[in-house]
Amino acid sequence: MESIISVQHLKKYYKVYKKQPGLMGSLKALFARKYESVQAVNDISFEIEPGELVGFIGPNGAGKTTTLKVLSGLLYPTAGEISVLGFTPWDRKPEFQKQFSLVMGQKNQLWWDLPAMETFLLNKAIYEIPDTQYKHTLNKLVTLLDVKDVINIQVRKLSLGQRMKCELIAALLHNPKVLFLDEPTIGLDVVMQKVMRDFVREYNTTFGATILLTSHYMDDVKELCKRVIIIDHGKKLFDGKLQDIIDKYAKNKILSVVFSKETDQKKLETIGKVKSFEFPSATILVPRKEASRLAAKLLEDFSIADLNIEEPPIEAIIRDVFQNGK
Amino acid sequence: MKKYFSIWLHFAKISLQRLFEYRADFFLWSLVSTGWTIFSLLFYQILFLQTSNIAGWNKQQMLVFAGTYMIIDAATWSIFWRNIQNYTESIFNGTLDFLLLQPIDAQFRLSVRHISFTNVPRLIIGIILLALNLPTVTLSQVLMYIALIFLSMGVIYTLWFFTATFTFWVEKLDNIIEIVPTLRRIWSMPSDIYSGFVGAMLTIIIPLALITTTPTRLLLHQFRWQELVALLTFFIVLFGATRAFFHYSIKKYSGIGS
Repeated sequence: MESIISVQHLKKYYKVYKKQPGLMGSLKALFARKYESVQAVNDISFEIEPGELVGFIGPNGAGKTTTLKVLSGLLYPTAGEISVLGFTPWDRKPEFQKQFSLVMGQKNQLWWDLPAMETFLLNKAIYEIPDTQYKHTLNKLVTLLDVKDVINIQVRKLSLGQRMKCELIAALLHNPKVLFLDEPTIGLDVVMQKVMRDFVREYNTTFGATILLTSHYMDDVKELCKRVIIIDHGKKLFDGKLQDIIDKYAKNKILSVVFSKETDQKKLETIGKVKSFEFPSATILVPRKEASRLAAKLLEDFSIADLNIEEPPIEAIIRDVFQNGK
Repeated sequence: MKKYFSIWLHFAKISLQRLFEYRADFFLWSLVSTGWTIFSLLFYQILFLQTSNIAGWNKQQMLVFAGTYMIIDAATWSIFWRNIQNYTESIFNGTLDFLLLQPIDAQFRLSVRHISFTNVPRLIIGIILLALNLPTVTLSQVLMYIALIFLSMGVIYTLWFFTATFTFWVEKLDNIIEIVPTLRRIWSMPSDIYSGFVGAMLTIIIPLALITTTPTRLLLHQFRWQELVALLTFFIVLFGATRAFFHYSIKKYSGIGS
């Protein structure tokens, strides 16, 4: 299948000026400024196929938002070839803009002191959405997100979760084929996070939209994305199935044990690194490849009531990836 | 065209809704604006106690001039001030992003977002002033006058948008949007008060002194074609330059943070 988003060797450098601290620093900066080039994105390439839901993860300042902004045509890249829906984003052609949307969890496009409905109507005019299509999409989205009672209340009086739902509707009224979601669940409580996730999944399947999602919450990515791209310091560290991260980066497995008879920690350490031990439970880290053999040894040498072999949590693995990537 | 008109209408409706939402704000600022208008009219009265004409303009002509000035000023202030303010703010705080994503001309979107109605009383006072002091005029003169008012507003708007666009290059320039309001002094007096080099500058090369003078002269049966040519040429050149400057600046725009 032909890719809908294609990024080849994307580079984006910013020039920022460094100020020395204090008043003297400010005075100096008045006359001579030291500029430094920051490599926000440094040679990233990837392809995304129509209908994919891809997680884009990385720590703060990794270059995620910069990449999304280049893909939306907000930023001109320093170098690289980018194509989204067959367009060069920064040409900002209306035909292109009518086919995608960018939702930023930390910024809002809704009119603050008017009901969200006003913004919807404005977007209808700007995106030239035909009446029937507008009514149909609005009804569908309002039902899906359960905000019927909310869209006619001033935005400033809504809760963060309600507002975010309305933000999504405003961004989706024109049925974008490509959707960039930048931290859509930021600041939301667990219940609302789940609602958002369900909605994103539903939108992906019903509308067949291609979605690129960034998030700090691993749960978002774990639940929604089969494929993830990990970037840090402007470089791509990983691109593939979430499961493959575990295979590639997780060096250990975790043995969770419940003992039926008293035992001592020293003896346990012959099996692997004891992470915690409080009778009757213990967790032991063992090299991945030897997990089965060591589990068998454990069963043989100790009196065991229960034993589980577990993968380390994905958060921990990714944290390791970031830390080793530096 | 139809799309742009319907969007403009939508913005106008939203601005009206806002007005009803924040009535107190509207009344207060209307009062302030009316107060200033009355104050400036008093100033003319006092001035004409001392002299019978200013640079060849008698009292009645000056009141027509003042009416025209008020109309132009109230209209430009109502339509553009908040927008120009928001424009520079949006560059600084990064909200320009959303506008640039939409399939609509960004300059248009930035220029028509808010309409303020607090200057409406001033506009009405200006029209009353005209009605009370106007010599007999034909309908075609009135229509031509309205067209000239639009041209003058266009010049002011373009100048405003042009100066505000410098914000892209420094990211924080609070006072840049004050330049045009300060320049208003130039066209708050008839162009005849300027002479020599300054006069030539302000009526031919950068014909800001004609902004109020040219439409007023039309009503007073003293219309000069050369002035219209100067104003129109200036507007077209400045508008072209502003668009080019705006589009070039957007390339420089980098949003904030990441």
